[in-house]
Amino acid sequence: MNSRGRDRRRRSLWIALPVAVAAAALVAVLATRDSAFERKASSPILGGLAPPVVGMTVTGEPFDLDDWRGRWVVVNFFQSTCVPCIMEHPELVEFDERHSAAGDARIVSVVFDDTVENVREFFAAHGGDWPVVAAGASRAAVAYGVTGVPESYLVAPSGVAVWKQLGGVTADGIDDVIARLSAAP
Amino acid sequence: MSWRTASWVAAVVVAAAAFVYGALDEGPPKTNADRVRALAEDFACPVCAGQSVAESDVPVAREIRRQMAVWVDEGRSDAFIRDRLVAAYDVDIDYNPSGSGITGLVWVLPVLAGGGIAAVVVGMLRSDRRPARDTPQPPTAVRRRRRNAAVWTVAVVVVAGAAGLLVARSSGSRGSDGSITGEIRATTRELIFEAQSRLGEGDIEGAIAAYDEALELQPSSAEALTYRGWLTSRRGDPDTAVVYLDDAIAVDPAYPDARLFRAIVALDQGDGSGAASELAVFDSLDPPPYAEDLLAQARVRERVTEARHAAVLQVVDGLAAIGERPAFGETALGVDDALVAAEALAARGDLLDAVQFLDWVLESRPDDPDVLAGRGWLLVRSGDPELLALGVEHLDAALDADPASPAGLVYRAFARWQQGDDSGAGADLAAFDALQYRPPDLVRLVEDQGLRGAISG
Repeated sequence: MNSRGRDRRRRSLWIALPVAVAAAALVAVLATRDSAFERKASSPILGGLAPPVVGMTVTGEPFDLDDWRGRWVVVNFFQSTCVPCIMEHPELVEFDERHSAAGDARIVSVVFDDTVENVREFFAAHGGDWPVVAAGASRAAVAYGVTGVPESYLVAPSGVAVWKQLGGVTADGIDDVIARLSAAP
Repeated sequence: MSWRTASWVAAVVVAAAAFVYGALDEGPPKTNADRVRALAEDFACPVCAGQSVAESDVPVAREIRRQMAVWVDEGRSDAFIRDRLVAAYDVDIDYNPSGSGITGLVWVLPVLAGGGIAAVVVGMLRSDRRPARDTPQPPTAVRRRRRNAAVWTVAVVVVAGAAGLLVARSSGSRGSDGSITGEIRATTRELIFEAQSRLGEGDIEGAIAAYDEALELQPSSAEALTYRGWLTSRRGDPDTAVVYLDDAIAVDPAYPDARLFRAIVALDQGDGSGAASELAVFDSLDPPPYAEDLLAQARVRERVTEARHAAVLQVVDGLAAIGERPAFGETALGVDDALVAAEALAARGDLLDAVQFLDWVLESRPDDPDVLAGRGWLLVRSGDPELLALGVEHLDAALDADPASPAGLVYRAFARWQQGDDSGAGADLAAFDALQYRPPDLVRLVEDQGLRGAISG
């Protein structure tokens, strides 16, 4: 091989080297990140103080999540016309009935892209006697990073957001999470 | 191409590019609505493939745009909004990821790669030309070349600078109709005043245009949204009016005007319970006198009462006769419905029916303080001394069941006053005044009937 050929190979090597380093670094970054699904199922807010839920309920009463500090709280984002929301609703009613006497856990629903009239009719038809925040709901939905409904978060008595559920919840499922987290040191 | 020609070509290219940029660039956002639009384009819709928050119309994108409008109107910075959205939706939502942390590699890696390649290429080119530099040149030729280079450099800089100035003039924050300071034509407040003034002159279309302009500047102005919705309803489009009014309530749940107009529109749409709900919120907000006047003018309370009475009477009239009726607890009626029904029957002149109806409710809920108080109040208002005494017995029972029953205290205060027991009435009224929550309808009842003055007099 002559010197011209060696020069060309050396040049190619020098050009290829930074490209290879950049590509390797990019692959490393992408490989060490969570998959898109895992990121969706987790949430950046978990482990920190739950974002505020402050507003007016559909019955015209003021609501502030902070007033419920000291209890487990299920923050449930829903829409009256979404089928999975309708399907999960009896489970929320069941969960509320299980805990309403002891008062150790409560539910607050947050209206997501819906009208107050629809929500009133929804609760009249399907039952449920917990606060449903309508005014101030956008701020809460964006603060929790809600992407669709139903979507629920569990807030510990300390006020920390500890669990997120994409899709419908069940009463047993929430109780299991509470039992597991209560038993944890 | 000679060096001189190349310089002119460079200067012309710079100037042309500057003019093109000036013609195409829209400058910084002039209004809050523009800023919301610009911001929405910088964030990815969290559930869409390849669409920004600005482009998508899925619910989550709408919610984010709505919240962006509130933040922008609150005067929040772009960095604040970016931080909030990233905190909630993670960095993937940000089309312009930050330069810090591991995300910073997105910016650093291409620069490193590009810089590395450029360095290698330049190094190789210099090594190719190195022998030419060793050739000696005459000193006069070197000086002349340096002088020419300096002159042409200055010329190019002057042309480019002039182009830059022209660009700045044409693409700064000022519009063609802008003021010299570059500020927008008028504030939201001025536009709302203008709208009110036009409304006062009967120019509804002009008022709507002014409110639209105000909303362009400040999309989350509760006042502009409310009155835009109200005027829309007056033009005969209640469905669109509801959208404006619900947005106003979402922005400011404690704005009485929005609640009042929403109640009126609900009544116009035949939604009595919705109107009652809005009216209850309106009452809890300590509304200003002008809103109360408007409320009275539009007969909102009367219409809400009539609508609720009509709705609940329809249910009650559909029930079987008392002896054949199922227990109250087995019907879909609630205690509030029962109390409204009794009032509706009494208002229709059927006092006996009203009392019997509440007796039927008491069979299922014998200790309910609200039902006991409601039955007592029906009897107290009859004007018959014997029924008055019976009414007091029920009110006593209501207060035995719940000593802090607001209705029990107010109704018994009226009853005792009718019996001539002013000190007892005063004690009940004082107990009512000491309650943490006093229902506005009872407060109004006491004031409208002048009970305080009657007792003290």
